[in-house]
Amino acid sequence: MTRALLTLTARQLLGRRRSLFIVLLALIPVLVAAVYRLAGGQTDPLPIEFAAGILDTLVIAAVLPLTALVFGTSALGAEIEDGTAVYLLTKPVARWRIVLVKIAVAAGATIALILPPAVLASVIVLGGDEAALTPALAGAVAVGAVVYCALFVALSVRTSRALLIGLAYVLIWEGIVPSIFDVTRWISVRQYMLGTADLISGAPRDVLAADLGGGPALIAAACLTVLTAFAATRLLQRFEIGQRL
Amino acid sequence: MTAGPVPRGTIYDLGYEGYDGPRQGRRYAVWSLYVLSLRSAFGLGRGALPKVLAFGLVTVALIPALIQVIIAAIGPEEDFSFVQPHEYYDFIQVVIILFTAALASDLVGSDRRFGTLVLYFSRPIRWADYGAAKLAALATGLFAVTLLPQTLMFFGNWLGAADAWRWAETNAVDFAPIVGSGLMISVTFAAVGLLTATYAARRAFAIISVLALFLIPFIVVEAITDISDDAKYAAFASPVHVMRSFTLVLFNEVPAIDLPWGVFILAAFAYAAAAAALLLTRLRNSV
Repeated sequence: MTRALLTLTARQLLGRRRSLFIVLLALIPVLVAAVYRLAGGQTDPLPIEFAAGILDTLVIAAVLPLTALVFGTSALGAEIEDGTAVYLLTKPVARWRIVLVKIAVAAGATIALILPPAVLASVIVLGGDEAALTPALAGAVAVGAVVYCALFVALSVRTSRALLIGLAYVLIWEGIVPSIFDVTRWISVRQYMLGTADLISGAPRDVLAADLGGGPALIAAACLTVLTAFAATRLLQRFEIGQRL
Repeated sequence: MTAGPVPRGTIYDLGYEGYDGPRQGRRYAVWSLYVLSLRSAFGLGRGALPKVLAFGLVTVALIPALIQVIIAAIGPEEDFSFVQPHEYYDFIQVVIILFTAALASDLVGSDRRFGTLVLYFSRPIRWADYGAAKLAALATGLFAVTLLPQTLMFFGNWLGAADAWRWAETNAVDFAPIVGSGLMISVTFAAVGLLTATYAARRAFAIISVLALFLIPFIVVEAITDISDDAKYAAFASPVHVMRSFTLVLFNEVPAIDLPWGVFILAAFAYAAAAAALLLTRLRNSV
C-alpha cells in the first residue's frame, strides 16, 4: 500500500508541465554560473565567493523554496483540490503514513530536480577545485527540502490557499525579516540550510554568512520537521471529506 | 377546477414582462466590471481569506512608511531618515510582486475557470473593454501598495517636521516623482501580471508564473550584473530593474546601470505599452 502511494504520488508530482517549469527554474544557477565563467578570469568576486553567493542567494533563498513550495503544496493539496483525496482517505492507511509518504516524495522530487543543476553550477564556477562545496550543497539541499516540504504539506492540508501563503512566507519571512530582526534566525529554514552547509564544508563562517552553528541548525530543523509532520497528521485526522470546495 | 372565465394562455404565460427601464449601455457595463473587479481584488464580497491576504500585504507595504513617520515625529533626532522616497519600492518590491501575482491570477483566472466570461460578453462590452476594466482595476488596487504608503510618508514627514515651511521648500520637489513612479509601476506591473496570468489554466500556475516572471529575471540580473560591463544590458529583461531605474531617474538620482537617463524613461513606457497591447490582443484572440 505504501509503495502504491509512493509511486502514485511521484507520478502525480512529476507531471509534464510542472517538471518542465521546475527544470527551467533549476537551470538558472547554471546559467548564472556559465555567464560568470564566460566573462573570463575573475578576481573580483573570487570564484569561491561567487559560488557561495550562487549557493546562498539563488539555490538556498530562491530556487529550492519555490520548488519545495510547488511540490509540497501539490503533493496532498492537489488531491484535496481535485477531489481524489476521498479515495485516499477512505483506504485503510494510517494518516501519519499518508503524511510521511507525501512529505518524502515531495522532498525526494525537490532534491532530485534541484541538486544536479546546483552541483553543476558550483563545478562550473569553481572548475573542479574546492570540491568541499559539493557535499555541503547536497547536505543543505537535503535538509531544506525536507523541512520546507513538511511545512508546505501541513499548510496545504490546512488551507486551499497554501501556495499564496507559502509564497508570502518564503519571500517575506525567509527573505526580509531575518535581515532586520536577529532572533528569527532560529526559526528560518534558510539559516538551517546555511548552518548545515557551513558544518559540512568547514569553510570559514563568513563565506556562507551562516548565523547559526551547524549543530543547533540541524536540531532546530529536525524539531520543526517533526512538529509540522505531527500537525499535518492531526489536521488530516480531523479532515472532513467535502469540507472544502 | 375553478369556475369563471379562463385567462388566456394559462399554460405558457408565466408572467414575464418586457423591460422598459433605462438602458445604461456599454460605458456603465465597463464601469460595473471595473468596480466588481476592484472589490473582489480586496476580497470585498468574498470570503475572509482573500480579505486577510490583500489587506495583510497592504499592511506590510505600509510598515516602513509608518516606522519612518512615527520615529520622525516622536524621535529626538532632527531630519531622521529611515527610508527615502526614491528607495521605498526597493524596500517593498516583494510585497508589490506578491500583490500583483495574487490579484492578477484572481482577476482574469476565475472568469476563465468558472466559465463566466461568456456572461460578460452577453452584455454590450467588447474584448478591449474587458481588458481595460481588469487592467484599470488591478492598477488601482496596486496604488494601495505603491502610492498609498508613499503619500502617507510624504504628508507624515511634513506634519512631523519641526519647520514645516522649510521642509516643504526642500522636499516638495519629491511629490511629482512619487506620483509618477507610483503610477508607472502600478500600470506596468498590472499589465505584465495580467498578461502572464491569462496563459495559466490553474490558479496555482498563474500565481507561480507571474511571480517567476518578475523574480527570476530580477535574481539573475542581480547575480550577473557585477560580472562584466556588458551584463548591464540584461537589466532590460527584468521589469523590476527597469521600474527601479525609471524611479531613480524621476527622483533625479543616478541608476546603478550606467546609461543615459532617457533610455530608462523610454524602456519603462515601452514595457507598459507593450504589455497592455499584448494583453488586449491576447484577450481578443482567446475564445
